[in-house]
Amino acid sequence: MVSMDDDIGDFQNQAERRSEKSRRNNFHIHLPSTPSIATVLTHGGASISGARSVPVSSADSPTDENELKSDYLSIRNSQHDRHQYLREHIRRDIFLEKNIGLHSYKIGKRRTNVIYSYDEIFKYRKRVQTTIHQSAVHPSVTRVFWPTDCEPQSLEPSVLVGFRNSRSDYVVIAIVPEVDISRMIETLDGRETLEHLSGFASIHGAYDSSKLCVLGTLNFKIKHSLPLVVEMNSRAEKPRFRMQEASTAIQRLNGHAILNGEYGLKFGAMPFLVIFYERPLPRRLQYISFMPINLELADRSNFNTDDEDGKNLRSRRILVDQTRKHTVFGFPQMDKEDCINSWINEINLSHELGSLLEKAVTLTNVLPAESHSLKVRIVVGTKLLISRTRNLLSFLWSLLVMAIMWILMGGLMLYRVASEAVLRIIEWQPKSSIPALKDVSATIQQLDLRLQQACYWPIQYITLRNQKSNLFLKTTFHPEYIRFYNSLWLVANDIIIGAAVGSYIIDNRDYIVAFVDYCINEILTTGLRRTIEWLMDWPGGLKLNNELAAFFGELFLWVIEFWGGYLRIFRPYLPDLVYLIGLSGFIGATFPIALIADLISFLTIQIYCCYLASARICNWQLTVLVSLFHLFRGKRRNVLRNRIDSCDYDLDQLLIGTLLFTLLTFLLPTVLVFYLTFACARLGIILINAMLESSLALLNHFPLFAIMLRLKDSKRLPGGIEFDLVEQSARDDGSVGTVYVQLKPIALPVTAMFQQYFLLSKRIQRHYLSLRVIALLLTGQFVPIQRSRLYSLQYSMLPENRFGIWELWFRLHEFSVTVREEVKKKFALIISK
Amino acid sequence: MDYTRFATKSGQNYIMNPAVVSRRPWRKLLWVHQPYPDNYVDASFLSQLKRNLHVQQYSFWALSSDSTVIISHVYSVAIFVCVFVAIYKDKYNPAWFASIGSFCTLVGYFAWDGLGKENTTSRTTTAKSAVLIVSTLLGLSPVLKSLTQSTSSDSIWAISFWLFLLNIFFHDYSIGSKKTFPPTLSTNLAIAAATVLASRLSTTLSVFSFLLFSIELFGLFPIFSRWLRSYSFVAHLILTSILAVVTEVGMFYIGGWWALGVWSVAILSAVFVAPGWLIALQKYKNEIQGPWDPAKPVLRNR
Repeated sequence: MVSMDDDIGDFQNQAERRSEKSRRNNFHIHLPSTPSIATVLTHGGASISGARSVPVSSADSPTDENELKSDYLSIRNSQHDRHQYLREHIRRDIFLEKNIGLHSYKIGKRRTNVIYSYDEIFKYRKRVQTTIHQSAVHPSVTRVFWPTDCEPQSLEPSVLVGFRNSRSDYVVIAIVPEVDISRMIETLDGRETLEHLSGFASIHGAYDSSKLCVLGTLNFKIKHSLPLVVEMNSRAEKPRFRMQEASTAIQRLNGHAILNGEYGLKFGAMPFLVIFYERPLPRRLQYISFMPINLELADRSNFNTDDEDGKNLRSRRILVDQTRKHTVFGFPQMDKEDCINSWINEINLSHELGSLLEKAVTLTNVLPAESHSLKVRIVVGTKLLISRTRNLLSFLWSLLVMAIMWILMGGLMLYRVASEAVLRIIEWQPKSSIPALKDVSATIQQLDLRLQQACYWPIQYITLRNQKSNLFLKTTFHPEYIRFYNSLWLVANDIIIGAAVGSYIIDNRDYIVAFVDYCINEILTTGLRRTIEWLMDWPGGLKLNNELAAFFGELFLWVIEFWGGYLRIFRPYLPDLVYLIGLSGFIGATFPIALIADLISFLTIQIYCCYLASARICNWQLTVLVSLFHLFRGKRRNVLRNRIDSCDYDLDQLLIGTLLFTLLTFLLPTVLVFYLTFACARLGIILINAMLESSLALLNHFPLFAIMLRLKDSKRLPGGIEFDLVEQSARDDGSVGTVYVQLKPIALPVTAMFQQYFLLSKRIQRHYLSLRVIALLLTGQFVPIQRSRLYSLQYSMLPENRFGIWELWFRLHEFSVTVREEVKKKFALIISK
Repeated sequence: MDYTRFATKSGQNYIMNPAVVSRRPWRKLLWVHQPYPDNYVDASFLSQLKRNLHVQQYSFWALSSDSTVIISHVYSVAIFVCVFVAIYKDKYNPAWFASIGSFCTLVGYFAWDGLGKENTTSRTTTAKSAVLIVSTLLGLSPVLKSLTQSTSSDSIWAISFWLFLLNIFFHDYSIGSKKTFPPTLSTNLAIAAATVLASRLSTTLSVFSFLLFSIELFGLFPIFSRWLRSYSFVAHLILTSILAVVTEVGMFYIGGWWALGVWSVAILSAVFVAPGWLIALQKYKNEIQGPWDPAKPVLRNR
């Protein structure tokens, strides 16, 4: 016992020493691959924080973190909705900033560090561990974003231009070589040049222009007073960073560019956190994003809010929010959330602004110098000529566009009015209990979808055009772009496949007609009759009640014969119908499929009727039997309290009830047999139709364009960002010097593209493959087929309420006005030069 | 007996120990800290044991007269079976049984109506329900006739046997007359058995008469007999002996001498031998009570 106590004491001493150490200089960011989230309180050498603050080697498995897992995990482990969860999770990764920024927060006397991990992002990545000097004063680190693709080839002296978000937070967007500092500052001051260069795009509002300034130099020999000094010996090496204290002289020289600089003495000693990034190319529609790109429309992405799914999701969201509140308890809510968004925005702008700057610098370099050599003049002259020709061409092009648009506008409006009329008819419900046409027929549903898509396209196109002219709204532009082209592609695909299918059907018309004929005669008439006759004659040794079986059999036989008579009238038109189905293939493969589904429903109406009748009888009998069984036991069901009470019945009630109970019990097998036969037939038909309809869903909603983009250039489908630790260097005194971290965009996971399909399959599973459905089926209750719910997938690319005729008109008008003004501007440009 | 032996034996072990003798006497209190080992059992442990405290001695004649209550119900079941066999074998006109039954019911009703004080239902209501039942029976008889045509007779006999057995078990044999009606379950079981049996009969008339008879026997007769029991026990005995005679006659007609003999022996043994046997078995009664009995939970009735 004594030795054990000693051990404990030793351990405690150790822990104290550790915590002492941690308080003195370091703490750790630990981003393990296992999901965990933990708040560690460092106060007065508390043992947990003491243990956690010891430098953690990579071999150190995060077992203690498992213990520290909070409820959050149980929520996430339910694996309910990966995509939604990911979104949630990335929201949480706002705290990423805290990891990268490594701030500690003082709450009274205790200091709180947060150790976060975001497993989804870092799942397959190496564990990132960073040990960074922590100073008691906030901020503790100088953060620099460094564009690696922009480093000059031969490492000539260059000027760093970028955003200065705070006194310790820089985003370098361009490294401009061979330029004077003062010239660069002039260029930045002459913002008109920039705006002029950027064409008609307004870059106002896309960024905070007061933040854009000259940040420092790379390999500069001349002494200056800009804050950042970077040296780079070779491209293989990492750049070395140094912080210069701002002197008053430079502040005067730079004017507002680096004014407000209140560099303290401490900043020179602060460690650097260098985040490498590659500038996304806006011309190639690349960008980075904190959130995964949302391929569905915003109001559609949570289309199941009235559903159980939606409820679960909402309650989970509330829970997650609660956990977050608990975890972040005590943190001052700063503008950190905006901070990370502004970085991302700045990084997204970097390439565009950088190239503009370079252009502007060359212009300011060249234009005023009239006395340059002939060679230079020729070069400049050629450049001017090229730009003029380009202007002229673009003017002519927009003129053409305008002319075409005027013609198109009339056609579009006519089309819109006509389609509105059709849509109104399709959606018309005389009563709320009577389903609309589009809910009854798959073909009409398909027609509805196509019409709505066609109504939405012009608006989508106009939105895209408007946003295209404004380069800096890319984040909203992209999903819209993908949606638009996805639906166009799908329609084109549909028509191509449809043409093949249609011609195949037309070529083999005779075989198909013969087959359908066989189905009608052999299966739907003779086969059914034989089945019913078999049922009437003690099927499989089952002892049915003769009289009742005969009654049911004759009833159903009559229904089948009745419908068979109508089918015989319909028979001569069959070849024409098949031909029509084949023809409809030329407006898309979805139409023949929908028509076949409808044809099946039409040909099997008699089965549906028999099913309905037998289900009603069966259900009625079962209900009566249950209540009579209660009577038999001397009980009754209390509806008000929803329980079984005992009850004193009158004698006559008892006698008649018992008589009926015995009677119905003996009649039940007969009814059940007939019901089950028709239920099975109905189930088979539903299965066939479900298969056809799921193929419709595939044809209508497959994320074809998104998958193509994913294969072609995954940067166009951002799914978030991640940070990998590259290297960390120490200073001479042993403290941490610079930490290099690589920022990488993550491509959208393929599962997220098929999110809707997952939701749909889950829903189908719950609605049709559950025990509840089997119970419903066995008791003869109505199993609802919620077509509208199944179809929510198909409409997820469309807005909830379609745009009205006037809306379209206004949009078109507005658009024509902008086009006209564009043309005017271009004309003015040509005239002026 | 076992208990006391055990107690003294294990208690002695400790009392023999001289170190223990001088100690404080042991108290049967779990919560007091006492200088005795955990498995110590004192000699006084079972001193408060009481045996056969509530056992009462039965008298033979009281038991055998009470057994007539059961016997009379068994008689009515037997009569019912006899009537069924008679109708099933087409020996007698089924209408006879229905009329005899109805006559007896009327007599019984008037006796009950005239003498009974606890009569709550009005005569018109009774008449209405009578008409209702009769007309329902008339309507359902053709359906019932063909109900179990496809089922074999053996399964019907088995079903009705079990139903009657359950009926006899669940019947209310209490002597007081707190309730107006017998418990619903036994009545229902009997009626179900009757319905199942009725479906074996060949003509609609026989089904109707048989069911009417069964309703009178199982629905109404128990009410009457119970009332009579509470009214006067002598009258009950008289009724039972009338039933006995009727049953014996029925047995004789259906099964002959052999059935009559077996039946009489069974009944006589139930009335005379079984009570005697019960009294003989009383000496094996061993009911123990004491202060250690756990408190009985009081279940509140709804």
